Amino acid sequence: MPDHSTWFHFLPFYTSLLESAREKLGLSWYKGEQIEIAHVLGYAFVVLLIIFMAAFALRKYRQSVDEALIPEKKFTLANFFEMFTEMIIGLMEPMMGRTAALYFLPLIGTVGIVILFSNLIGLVPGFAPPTSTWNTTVAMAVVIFFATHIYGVKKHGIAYFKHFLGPVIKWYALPLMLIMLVIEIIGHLARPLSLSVRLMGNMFADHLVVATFAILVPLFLPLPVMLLGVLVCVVQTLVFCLLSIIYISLAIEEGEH
Amino acid sequence: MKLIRQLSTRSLCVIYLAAVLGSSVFMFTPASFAEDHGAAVTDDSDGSFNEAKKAAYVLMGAAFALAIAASVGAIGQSRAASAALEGIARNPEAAGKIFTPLILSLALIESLVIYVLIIAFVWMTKV
Repeated sequence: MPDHSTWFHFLPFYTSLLESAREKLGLSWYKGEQIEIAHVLGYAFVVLLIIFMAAFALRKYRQSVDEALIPEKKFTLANFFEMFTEMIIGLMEPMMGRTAALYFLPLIGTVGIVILFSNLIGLVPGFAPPTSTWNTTVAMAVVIFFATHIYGVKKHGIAYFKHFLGPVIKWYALPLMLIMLVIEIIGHLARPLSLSVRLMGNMFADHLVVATFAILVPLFLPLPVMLLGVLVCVVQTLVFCLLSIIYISLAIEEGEH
Repeated sequence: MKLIRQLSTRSLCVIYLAAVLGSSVFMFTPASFAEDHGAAVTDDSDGSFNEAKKAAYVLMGAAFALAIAASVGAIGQSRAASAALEGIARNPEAAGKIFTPLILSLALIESLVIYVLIIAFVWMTKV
């Protein structure tokens, strides 16, 4: 099912690239299937698309500062990016405060924009959504995982790891500290796994349902599923960003004493 | 686009109907009658646990897991939705503020069902 032809099959070097990738990488762990590189190429395409859109939309910022402050009248691309930024900051400010929100805005904003456009490009016929394989989603989830711990250590120092030991940190509570350590480690390891599998599962299942409906009656039957797919794309972006914001703010909170 | 704009609504509807009916002709092709190999292959009366029986068990397990996960997940989501709708009914102005946590909770509950779906896929193709 995931082996449908995309626009990338028209590139002249695509077959040789695919052959050499399959030679070097072997079979996929997931189903023993052949490696498919349309997703990774789609990822590169999405990143290029975002960079071009951003460069095109933000040309008014390069002219003068006074002109940049005036919002545009219609719903243009610059307005879209400004709206997106406002929404992300509105998610972050209640949890972290203004300075931390502005500090983490590049990380969360980049992850949000990439996931949003990677999901949406799967609805265009002829493209495979890059987030429908575990390869791409686990990359983003691992980045968020390392970000939580690194920023926690940066803020609290080595005392950050006392969070793992639970509420009571005295010598007589040693069994409690050990059990809390095990539970916290399992919980922390489950976070990137759940983030990545949630995103991958939603995109994969949606793409699969659209493909199945397209096999039945290819003319107009996949349309309601695609409408649902737009909602799912946006909601999954929101869930990923909100959960990563929650994890980071849990790591850097200082409401202890 | 101009050609489509020149056609009337009625003719567009007729064209759409013809296309749907024409593509649904392919549903009525004669089905091939599969013979019943299943009972012969999964027969392990000679004492060994052969691959086809193991495959049958794995697939049935995946099907049951998915059915249970989907039904219990639907129950959980319906509870969240009913609480949200009751909140909106009490206070219609708070509909905007209730909407975001509702969508978030629905997505988080649905992610548990999707974990089971992924495992079912892995079993189904590794059998």
